[in-house]
Amino acid sequence: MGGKGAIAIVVALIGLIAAPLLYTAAGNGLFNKPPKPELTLPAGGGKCIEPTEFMRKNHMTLLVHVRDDIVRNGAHKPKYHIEHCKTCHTKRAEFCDKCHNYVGVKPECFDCHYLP
Amino acid sequence: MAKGKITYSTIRGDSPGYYALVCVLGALSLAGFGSAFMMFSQGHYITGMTNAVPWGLPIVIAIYLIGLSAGSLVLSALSSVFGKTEFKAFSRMASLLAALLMISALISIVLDWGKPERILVPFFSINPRSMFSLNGMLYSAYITICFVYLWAMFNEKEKLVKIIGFTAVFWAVLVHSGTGAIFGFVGARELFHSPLLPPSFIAAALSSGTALMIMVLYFTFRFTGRKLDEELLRRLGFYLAMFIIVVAYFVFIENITRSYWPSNYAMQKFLLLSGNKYSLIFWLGMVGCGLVFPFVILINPATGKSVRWILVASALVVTGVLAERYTIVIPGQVLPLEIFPGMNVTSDFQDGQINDYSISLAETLYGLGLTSLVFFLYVLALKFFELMPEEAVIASDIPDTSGTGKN
Amino acid sequence: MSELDRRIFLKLGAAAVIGTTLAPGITLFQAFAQDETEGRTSSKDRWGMVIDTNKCTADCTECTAACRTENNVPLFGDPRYDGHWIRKVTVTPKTDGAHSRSLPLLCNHCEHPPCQHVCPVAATFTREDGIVMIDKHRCIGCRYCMIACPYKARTFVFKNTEKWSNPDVPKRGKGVVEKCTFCAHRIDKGQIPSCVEACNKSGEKAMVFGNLNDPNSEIVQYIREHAPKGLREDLGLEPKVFYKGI
Repeated sequence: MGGKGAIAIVVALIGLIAAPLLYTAAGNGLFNKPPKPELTLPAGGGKCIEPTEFMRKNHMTLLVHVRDDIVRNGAHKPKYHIEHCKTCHTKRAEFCDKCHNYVGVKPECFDCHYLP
Repeated sequence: MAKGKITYSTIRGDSPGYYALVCVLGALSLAGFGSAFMMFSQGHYITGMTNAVPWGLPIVIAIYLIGLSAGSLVLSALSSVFGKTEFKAFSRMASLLAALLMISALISIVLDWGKPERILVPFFSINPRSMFSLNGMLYSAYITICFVYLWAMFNEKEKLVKIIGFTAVFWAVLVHSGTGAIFGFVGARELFHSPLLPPSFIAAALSSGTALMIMVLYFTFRFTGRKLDEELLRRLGFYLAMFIIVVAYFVFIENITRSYWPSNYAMQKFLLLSGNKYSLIFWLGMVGCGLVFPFVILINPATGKSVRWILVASALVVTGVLAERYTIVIPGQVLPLEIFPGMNVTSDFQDGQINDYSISLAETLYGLGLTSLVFFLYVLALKFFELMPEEAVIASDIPDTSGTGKN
Repeated sequence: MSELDRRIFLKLGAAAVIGTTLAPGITLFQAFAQDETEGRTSSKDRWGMVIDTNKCTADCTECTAACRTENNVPLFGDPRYDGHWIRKVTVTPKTDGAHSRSLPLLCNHCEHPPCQHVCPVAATFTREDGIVMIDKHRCIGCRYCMIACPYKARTFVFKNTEKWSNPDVPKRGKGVVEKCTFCAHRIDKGQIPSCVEACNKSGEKAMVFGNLNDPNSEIVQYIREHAPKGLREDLGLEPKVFYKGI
């Protein structure tokens, strides 16, 4: 096989892998950052069980850990439970979706779990 | 040509016919992936599968392709492991085809999942008691072995080729026993539960694989205009006849054992005598196309020597084994489970009644697409890699050891 | 830079790398160290059920209706795709056509569950208290368990459903397998499964639920007295749902 063929294949593969990224970039306007979401603190003025910075970074790990504990071991008194979140953060659109949309993650949680 | 030395070269691949073939196969593969995407985005209700028959055509196609892969690999190993040096010319093509068939089979299994996006889950959570989990490891190792084997052959490392050849044959036995065990180990369904399934799976794999190789070799050499010694195809035809005998023996033993005991009368009556599509596929497809007609063609001296008839027999076997795979997967699910022995059962969940399975358009495209994918990649590979021998003839200084010349 | 300095520099660098990779994990570990350990299932419990087919009548569907509402079991109006966690079955002996019985059929929560044995990703598991469950977060939807189950207790989610009938219990997205959980979420709260509750409240009082490991429980007394049978006991799966009168 000639060198040209190899280069063509490599370029094609890179294009294939990068296609979703390019597609998204083109859809958003190339290198055009979406505005940062404006977050409002929930009314009531309560305090989260962990510092905000920690939660921002680690909430998914906490939830996954607790998820397995609940499903597999029937734990019904876990310290971190999305039910606790729901007591203050009552609206999913305000609390979850804003940031998830901003960073472009689509968690499957709410396909099955109900959060208004 | 020097003694025993085979020159491999890429094919030119610039004729309109070649491009047309690539386009057709590529379009069919795309259609297959398209229907897989439909299944993924819409849900499995667009297939013929139901809660009563949860496994449909994708699984049939998967185990069919896995079976075909065995024949290719064994043909590839004939020269290095079993000393049939006259087949050495084919070993590169055959081992590439084995790898491609297995890759396509794996894709067929994964895209059939309800959640194909969870492809990484099986790598991190393993259940060593599950035949699916074990087979996943066997299959991926098999693909690796095929490619290492190819690499060794390309670099002409004779000793390594021999070692890998042995490993490959051993591994192929594991892979095909494991695939049979997916069904054979299920005690809940009478038609699946059989210790004969793993060995009979190997036998059918060898017969269908050899038949496919005969066709692929003939047409590849024909379209590229290279020389193929017809005697080689005749010898493969002889092997095919032998494999058919083994398959027939397994089919006979399995069905006679089941039919003997009174508790199975209803089941065997349904499968063999009812005249519905399942018994038609059993008799016409599996027994007729897969065993009787090709065997008669191959052993009859008037037809067994003609390449044309050998091709017809091969095509029949390839179809017949597809029918056999269908008969393994589908009728076992169509028959109702015996939850209450000795009772007539009715419910609003089809308990106690014979279920129906009909293949939907999406599944047909899926099956066609994944089968085309194999040949699409094969045809492309022939152009880019030195897989094909310049000519395949039996060298006069190599003695005829197979003893099949008179057939 | 002297040799010593270089060494110190390298060591510091390595420490920094290890620190940044491991620190988040360590913080989390500390967070979970304070996690409560009580409130989980224990092997002291062994949940089981007895169904008295002499009491169950053909026209009563309280248990199936209650299950559908409680667990968001999908109903598409097409019998091929509807979900069934518990279903009513009518059985008639082949020798005696007049003597037919109606009974509910659900997951038997076998002691040796074949569905768990065949699951390639260990998504099906047995809890400490003997309930066989599916981790739908892990299920890949290969449907091998449906092939292996001799009771046809499992159904596949062929389509997405839009609404929750009970928001406290998750529904299932398309592409996973679902089945009866003995209402594990209710058991964890100290309640009994919703089918049993419905049967006792507005049905024929044909179902008894309880702890098979507790010699004083109602179910153990009932089993001692009436010796009910499991379904297809010849398969050796040791089901934990027993039927009286078939």
